[in-house]
Amino acid sequence: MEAIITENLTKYYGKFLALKGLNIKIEKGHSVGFLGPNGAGKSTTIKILCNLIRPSKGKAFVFGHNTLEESIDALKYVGALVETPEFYSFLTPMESLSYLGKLRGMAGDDLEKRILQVLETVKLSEWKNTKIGKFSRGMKQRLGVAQAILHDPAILILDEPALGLDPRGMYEMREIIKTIVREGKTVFLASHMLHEVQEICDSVALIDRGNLLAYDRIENLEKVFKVKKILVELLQPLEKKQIDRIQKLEGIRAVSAEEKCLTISFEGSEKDQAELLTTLIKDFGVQIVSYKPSLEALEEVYLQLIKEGN
Amino acid sequence: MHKTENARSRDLKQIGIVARYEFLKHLRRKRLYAVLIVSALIAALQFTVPLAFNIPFPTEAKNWAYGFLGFIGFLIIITGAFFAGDAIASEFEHKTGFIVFPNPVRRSSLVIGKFIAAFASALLTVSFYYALGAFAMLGIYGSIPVETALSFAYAILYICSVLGFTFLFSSLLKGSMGATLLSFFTFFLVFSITSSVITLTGNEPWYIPTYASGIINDVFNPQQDAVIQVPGSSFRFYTFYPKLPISAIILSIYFVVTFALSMVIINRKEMT
Repeated sequence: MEAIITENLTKYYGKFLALKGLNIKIEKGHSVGFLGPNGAGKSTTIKILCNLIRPSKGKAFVFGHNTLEESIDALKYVGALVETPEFYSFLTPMESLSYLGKLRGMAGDDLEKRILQVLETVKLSEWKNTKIGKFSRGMKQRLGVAQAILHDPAILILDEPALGLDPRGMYEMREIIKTIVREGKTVFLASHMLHEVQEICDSVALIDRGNLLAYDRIENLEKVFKVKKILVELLQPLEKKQIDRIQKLEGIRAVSAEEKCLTISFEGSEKDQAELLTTLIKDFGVQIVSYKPSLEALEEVYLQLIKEGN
Repeated sequence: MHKTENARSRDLKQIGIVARYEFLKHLRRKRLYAVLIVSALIAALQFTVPLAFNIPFPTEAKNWAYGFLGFIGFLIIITGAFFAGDAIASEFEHKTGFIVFPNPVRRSSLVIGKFIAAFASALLTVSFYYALGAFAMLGIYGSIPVETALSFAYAILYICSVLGFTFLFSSLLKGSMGATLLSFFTFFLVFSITSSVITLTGNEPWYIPTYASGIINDVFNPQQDAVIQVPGSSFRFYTFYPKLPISAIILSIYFVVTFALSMVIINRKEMT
């Protein structure tokens, strides 16, 4: 069953076309990264899904419920974090989550237990009784995630969830989302951070200037765009003639070296990838510390698509 | 049918939740305490100034109440604008709507809940002022005129009317301060000036809410409209007094129309 469907979703802000006939179907239990530059239409799509704005044309559905006409039924399934969240400054996290939980029909001890649990998850337990008005942006972002997961929603819609977080916060946020993905929830994640999407999501939708450029599983996109990058960490730096020889191997598209690090772009299957490793060790006598796929592959797909779109 | 009943019950519960938390906002932001203090000061001045300057109190409690409630319109406008100005606009201005609106709650339920909280806060202030007046009358005259209850009922109607307008401004404008100021401006200036100009032309401004709110006081001392001809000139001065039940109906209509409009607007307003 599709958790989210958009049909010819179009949005104009005055004369400005922000979203042009977006068609996406997200199966239940899948995690989809929503990528695109600023002004691409990511937030517009998310706002329509959350009934914050109305589409100019087309429809959006959450588990079969039209987000405009049956918004109450649709939003029951959704936990959302839209833009940088702002809370009522006169409330504490406990009170704020209690308010939002009660609005969703939660109550009593169950609600209190769940609030404490989500505050623990986002590492805000220590500040549970502090007025939110005193919170930093990062703390509000964490609280935003807490309110999004409070009711254990079937669908999590997140708009740049790592915005305003420090590196540790970003890591923790990724771990929280990964846990949710592992629980089989549907995740729709708008982000600028490609490695974040690559780590969390199984598919990506690439959007630019309101147009959907691609929507597929990440590995399929990498295949279509023949992008495969291997990051090789070496014990010692290679000589230039060695790098030139590697470049001449079958299937190798490019090799870049930086100190003890090699980035190899190549076309081929996983078997070819394994054979490349053997060749590097046996034929070239390279001492390899680590050999792993680079997270830059998605970035390359992204850049290619944006370039083609322009 | 069952589904409709469930939805209604859910809506009522949600309205109650919103009202409770919104009232908590008024308590925490201390505005409620501020207007209560202002009410107490106004009441105290009206009691102590005549005593301090040896000005005798009116012979009848009705006449004292008429004077005492001369400030009630001012107090209602202040409380209405204070408690309702930011009710809707702040959700957009401070972006709290991004957290509140993606919940399975009708926006109309949010507006009704916020209205109840604003109404409760304004009512508390006005009731406090009436209670002070009642105690003073008991102290001075040993009784409270029966018209006080009627006056209080009209004051409640005026509160609703002021809140209706302020909610409308709050749903139309993006800023809370703008909505609050527009409410002050409309009631203190626009309606008052319009009312005076219409009166000068010899027509009764019965449809102006500030004029209609005069029934809050006039109930103690009903008077007849009057026309004074300036000697040696064709110029006439007109004095009109709000009448019942038309004034009460007008205040009710303004409340229903403005509040309904604010709900329509908020239902369509986009959180961009």
